Amino acid sequence: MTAEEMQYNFELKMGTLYSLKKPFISYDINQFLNESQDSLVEGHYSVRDGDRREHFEVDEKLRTELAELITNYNVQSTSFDTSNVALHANGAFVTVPTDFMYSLREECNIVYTDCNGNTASNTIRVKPITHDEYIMNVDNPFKKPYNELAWRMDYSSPTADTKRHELITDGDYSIQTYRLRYLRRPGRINILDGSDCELNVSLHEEIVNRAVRLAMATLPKTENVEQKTES
Amino acid sequence: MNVLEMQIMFQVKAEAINADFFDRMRPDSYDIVNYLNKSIDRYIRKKYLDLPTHSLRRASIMSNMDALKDMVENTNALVEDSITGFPHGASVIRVLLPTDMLSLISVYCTYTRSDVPPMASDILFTDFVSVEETKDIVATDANKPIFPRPVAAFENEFNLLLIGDAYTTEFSSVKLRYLRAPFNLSLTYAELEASDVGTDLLNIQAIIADNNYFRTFAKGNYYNDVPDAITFQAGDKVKKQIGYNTIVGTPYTAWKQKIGAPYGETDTPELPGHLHEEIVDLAVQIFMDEAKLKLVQKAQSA
Repeated sequence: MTAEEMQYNFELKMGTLYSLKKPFISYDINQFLNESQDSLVEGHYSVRDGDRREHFEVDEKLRTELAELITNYNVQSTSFDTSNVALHANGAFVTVPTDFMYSLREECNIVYTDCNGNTASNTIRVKPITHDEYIMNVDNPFKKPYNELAWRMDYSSPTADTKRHELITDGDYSIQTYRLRYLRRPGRINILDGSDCELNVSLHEEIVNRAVRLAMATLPKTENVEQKTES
Repeated sequence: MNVLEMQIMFQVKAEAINADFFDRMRPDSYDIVNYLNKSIDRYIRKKYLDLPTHSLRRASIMSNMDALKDMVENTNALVEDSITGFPHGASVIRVLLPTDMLSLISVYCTYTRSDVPPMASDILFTDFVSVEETKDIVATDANKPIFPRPVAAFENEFNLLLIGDAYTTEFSSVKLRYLRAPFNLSLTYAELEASDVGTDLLNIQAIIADNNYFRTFAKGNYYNDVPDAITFQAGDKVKKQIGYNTIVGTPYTAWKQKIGAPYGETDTPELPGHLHEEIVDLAVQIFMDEAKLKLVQKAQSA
């Protein structure tokens, strides 16, 4: 469904398509559609069901619906920030893309010197940890990073709308490449410049439905009732 | 009832009210026809059009179409090429309203839009609104409104605007369907009819002078725009060309060629027959009211 078709559907469901009294302009409808899209992506990414959290990769349907948003990002060590005063020991900042939303998989290519004194390389796991976990485990030889594991912590970025990942090693190996597979933020739907929804087509109708519910909630109650009566 | 029969009825009714109308104050034919025409005008306006809004008048015409059908005209509207300074940008055209229009019934046009939904030269009826009611379909930098039908709005006495939404790309072939003013009853009106269906109508100069207009009652051909012949439809207004005295009817075997002249006149009211006596009564009423006024003035001056 194109952005224009979304507006058509939106107005059809609002009961304003064949009315010359239109409570919302395209700019407003953009806001409703984007809010709806964002909430839908958030909801599909993970849902808390009591104590349990369901992740989007739990079934084929959800995987397909968000597949368009899965993106790869590779950063070479030359782009790492290793001199920032905010860094922990053995840490390096990596700025993640502006459209980064949630990380799905992270790994690093490292080089290190093995027990025979030879240079070796390896692809290792990256474990996201909290600041509490860092403090608790940084001196724990059984949990701290080693040549099969790096830690990752979150940090802000000086640039608006971006964040940085702080990669922490054990100091004995060096990271060559940080490979991130992430769920990106979907592009903005824009009726005015014709930017269409990037999500899977099967979600478009639901985005419009949610947008209609959001819009209906903003109308004064009397108008809301009138709309329902007219439709 | 034709104009002569109506004139006789008028005189009978007037004389029944006051014997003076037989001789001393007897109206002449010209006056009577004038009263009858006034009566027809007043009757139509009062019975069908005396309503406060265009939509009510339109509804009244449509629900009385049986009585008014003889006065319904379908015509191609004259379109002004472009309009500047209107908020709707390029999605608006101006068409001229006919001068003999009493009330507009419907407008339809060939309509093209680029998207939601795309339409390529579809023929659509327009909605009727006021210009002010179209404010929500004005395209701006922040709005690309969707209203997938053309809208018609009266601009002023002379013009009608056809307005489209942000996706409208073209209006063309605008047709107006309207109730026109009734033709005047006339004692000089004449008709000429072909001898049979599918034959030419000869010697039309007998009832219509050059460069005057006549009315057609069948589909046929004539040299409306010399040297090219045009095909006219029943009810069309056609100009008599110098030297062209034949209506070609041979290709139209279903039609019997007939014309009436001059255009704009008739010898029978265009309202149905059962209303003719009411029209005469109203004409007599108007005549009596004016006569009373004359008598009062006479009495005052005596």
